[in-house]
Amino acid sequence: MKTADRVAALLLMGICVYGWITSRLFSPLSALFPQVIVLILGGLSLLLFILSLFRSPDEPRFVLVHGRVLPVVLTVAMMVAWVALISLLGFLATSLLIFSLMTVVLERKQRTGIQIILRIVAVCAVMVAFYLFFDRLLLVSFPRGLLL
Amino acid sequence: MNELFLTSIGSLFTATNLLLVLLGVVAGIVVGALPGLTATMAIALLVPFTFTMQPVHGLILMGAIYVASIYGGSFSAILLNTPGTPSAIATTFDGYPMAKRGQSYQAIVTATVASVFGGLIGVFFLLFLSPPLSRLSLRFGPPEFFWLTTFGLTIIATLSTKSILKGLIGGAFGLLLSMIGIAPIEGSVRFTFGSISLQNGIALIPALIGFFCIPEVIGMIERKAEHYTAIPYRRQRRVLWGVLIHIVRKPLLMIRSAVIGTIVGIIPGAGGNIAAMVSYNEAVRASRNPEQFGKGSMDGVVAAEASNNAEVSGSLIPLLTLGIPGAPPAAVLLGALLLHGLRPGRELFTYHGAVTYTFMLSLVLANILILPVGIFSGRWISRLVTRLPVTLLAPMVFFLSVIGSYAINRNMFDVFVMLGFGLIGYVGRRMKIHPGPIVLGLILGSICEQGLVQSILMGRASGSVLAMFFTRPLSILLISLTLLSAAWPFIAGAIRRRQAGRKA
Repeated sequence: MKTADRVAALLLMGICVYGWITSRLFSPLSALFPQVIVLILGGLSLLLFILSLFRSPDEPRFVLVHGRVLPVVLTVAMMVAWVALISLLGFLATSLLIFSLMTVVLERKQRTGIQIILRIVAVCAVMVAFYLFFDRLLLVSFPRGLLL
Repeated sequence: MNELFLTSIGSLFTATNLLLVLLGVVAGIVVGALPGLTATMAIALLVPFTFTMQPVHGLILMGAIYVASIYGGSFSAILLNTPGTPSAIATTFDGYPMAKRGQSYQAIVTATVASVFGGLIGVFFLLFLSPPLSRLSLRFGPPEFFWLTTFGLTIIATLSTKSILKGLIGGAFGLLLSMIGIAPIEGSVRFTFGSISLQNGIALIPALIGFFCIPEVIGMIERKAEHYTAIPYRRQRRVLWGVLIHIVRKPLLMIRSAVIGTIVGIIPGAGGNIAAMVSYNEAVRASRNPEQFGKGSMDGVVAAEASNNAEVSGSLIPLLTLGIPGAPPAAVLLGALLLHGLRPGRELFTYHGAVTYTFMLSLVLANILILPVGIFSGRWISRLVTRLPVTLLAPMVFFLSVIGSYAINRNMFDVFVMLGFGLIGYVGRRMKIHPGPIVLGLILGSICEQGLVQSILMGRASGSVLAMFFTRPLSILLISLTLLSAAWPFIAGAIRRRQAGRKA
C-alpha cells in the first residue's frame, strides 16, 4: 500500500501545484478558498508521502482488484465503451448491445445457447421497458445515433 | 406548527401517498436485502424517477426507500452473514449466530420489531427537534456555517475511515472538486479546463451516483460466487409475540439504542454503520450478560437495528434545518430537495411546511409498514437474495446509473462525470479513501466557501476578522466540537491503552 500512497500523494501534490498556479489568475476573493484548500490538501498529501517512507516493508501491497481480475477489466472496458458509444450509435442501441455483451461475457456457468438467448431477451425487455418509461412517460429524450 | 401538523396528517392519507409509501417500503427492503445495493445507491438512482413528480410525492417515495433499505440490510446480515447495507454490519454479530442456531425467523422478527420501534423513536425526535432547530438556523450567519461545515468534514474524516489522514485528504479533495465552475463570490471561472460544461460545476447527482454505484457494480463482478448461499428461512408460530415481550421488558435497551442512533444521525456525515456500532458497544457495556453478545443474543440485534433505523430520521434533522446531511443517503436527499426547488432551513418549515411535515409523517407510516411487509415478505426476499445472479444485477445497476445521471440535465457530459467519479471512487476505496468524505466535501464546499469569504468581509467591515470567527457563541461551540472530533481518535486510543494497561 505504501507505493500506492506515495503515488496518490504525488498526484495530489501535482493537483495542488496546478491549483495554486491557476488560482493566482482568479480575482482575490474567488482565489481565497481554493488557495486555502490547496494548501491544506498539499500539506496533508505531503504528510501522507512522508509517512509512507517510514512504513514497514512487510505492509500488505496495494491490490486494485480483489478476486476475479479479467471480468473486472472487461466490465470497466464495457462501461467505458457503453458511455463512449452512446453519442455514436444512440442510447438504446448501445445499451442493448453492451448489456447483452456483458450478460454473456460475465456469465460464470456453462449455459446452453437457448438459455443465453433467453436471458438476453429478458434483459433487453427490461431495458426497453425502462427506456420507454423515461422516453414516453417522463419525456426524457435520450441521445439518438446511427442506430436507435 | 400545530395547524401545519394536523393539515399534513390529513394530506398524508391520500391513495397516492399511501401507495408510494408501500412501494417505497417494498422496494427499499429488496434493495437493502441485496448485498452490494445500498440505501444511498437506491436513493441516488431514484432521484431522476421523481423529478417529474410533485415534490411531496418524490420525497415520500425516497423517504420510504431510505427507511426500508436500512432495515432490509438486516436480511442478508442475518441469513448470509453479509450486511446488505453498511448500516447492518453490527446486525451480523448476533443475527447470523442466531440464524446458525436455527433461529433465522426469530432473528428477522427481532430485527423487524427493533427497526420499527427504533425508527419511530427517531421520527419522534425528527418531528419535535427539527422545528426549533430550524428557528435556531436563523441565528446561523456565515461564520457559523463555515464552522459547521468544518465540523462536518472533520467528523466524517475521523469516523468514516480507519486513517484520519486519508479521511481528511478525501474531504479536502471533495472541497477542491466543489470549486470547479463559476465562483460564488466575484464570479471567476475556476478549474474548468476551458470546458463550458464544467462552468456550472460538477453536477451533484451524477457525481453521487458515480461515487456510490460504480464501485458497488465493480465489487459485484469481483466476487467469486454467482449466487449467495443463505441459511434457510422458515416461519414459526408465536415468535412475534415472544419478541415483542422481550423488547417491552427491556425498554432501556430500545430507548438507549434509538437515542444513540438519532444523535449519531444528527452528527454531520456519520452514518448508520457508526450508529449501530456505537449502540451495540453500549448494549454490551450495559448488559448483565455481556458474554452472550456475539453468540446470538437478541439484545445485540435489537441494539444494532433500533439504532440504525433511528439514525435515518436523525440524519434528516441537520439536513432539513441547516442543509447539512447527517449521512450519505441524506446527502443524496439534499440533491433531490434542491432539484425540487426546496432549500433547507426555516423556509422548509414555514413556506413549504405542508410538504415537509407530510414527508416527515410519511416516515412514521413507512416505519410501521416495515412490520407487515418485512415479516410476510421475508421468505420471498430471502429467495430473491439467493437467486438473483450478480451477473445480471451489475449491468442493470450500471444501466440505471447511466439513465439516472443523464436524465436530470439531459446531458451526456454528466454521464462521463458519473463514470469518471465512479472509477475514482473505486480506486479511492482500494486506497482506503472512502467516498463519504469526498462527497461531503463536494456538497459542503460552496457553503463552506461562502461562510469563509463572507465572514472575512463582515470581519473587515466590523474591524476584526478574528473576532468574527472566534468570538460568536455558536461559533465557539462549533469550534469546540470540531477540535473534540479531530482529537477524539487520539483521546479514545489513549483511554484504550490506559484500560489495557490496567487489565495487564
